[in-house]
Amino acid sequence: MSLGDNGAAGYQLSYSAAVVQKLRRLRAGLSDPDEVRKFTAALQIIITRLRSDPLVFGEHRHPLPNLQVTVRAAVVGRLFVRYAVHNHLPLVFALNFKLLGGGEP
Amino acid sequence: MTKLLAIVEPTEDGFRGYVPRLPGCEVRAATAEQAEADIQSAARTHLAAHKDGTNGFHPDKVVIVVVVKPPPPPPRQRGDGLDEIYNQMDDYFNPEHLELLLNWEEQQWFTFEEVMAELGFEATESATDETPQ
Repeated sequence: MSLGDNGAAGYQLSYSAAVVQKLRRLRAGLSDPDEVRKFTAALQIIITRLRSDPLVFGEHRHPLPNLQVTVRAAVVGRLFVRYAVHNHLPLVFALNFKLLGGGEP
Repeated sequence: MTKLLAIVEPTEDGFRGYVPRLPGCEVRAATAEQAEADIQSAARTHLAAHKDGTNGFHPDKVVIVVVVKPPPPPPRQRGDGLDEIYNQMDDYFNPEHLELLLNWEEQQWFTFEEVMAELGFEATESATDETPQ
């Protein structure tokens, strides 16, 4: 397990290898510099919010009580994120990112 | 102890319980509660029948966690221009995600800084002034 202190934000945000790979694919699928800039900006907003106020950011989707998490989703620009917030610990798990309107190779 | 995921989901005439990582381990029941109990029992029996382990799982080192598939969220109808996005983009019940969350202590997770470095971005705290939707 690789979990750093993840900065001074209130929640520790973690990404699985699959999510990192997905982000890399989404990023690689963008050729227009303006699209890359917007993607970066959206990702930074998402990351900042997931680390600071994930229960205010986005929208509740459904609880998974046996896993002790609540699943939420949010959209910033063209970037959609699905994430889980631990019910008892300050942990956020980024589950998936999707780019609206395609863009995935 | 390794956690093993079991899923209970509604069918046309009741409920089905199964363990994604134990092929063939499946039960049917009239109620979700009965399916939960039955799949716990079936998984134990399945594992016990394979003393050397099944798919790397050993009966004495496994905790079975049952997740009942929740009903899909009602279609989002806020009329704020995002309804279609949420309704189409959210794959609300993904067993792969459940497996990740189940054993999160044992997964390799990446930090913010590692992800930013991986993507070739500078890891800064500052967000732009774009308004989140």
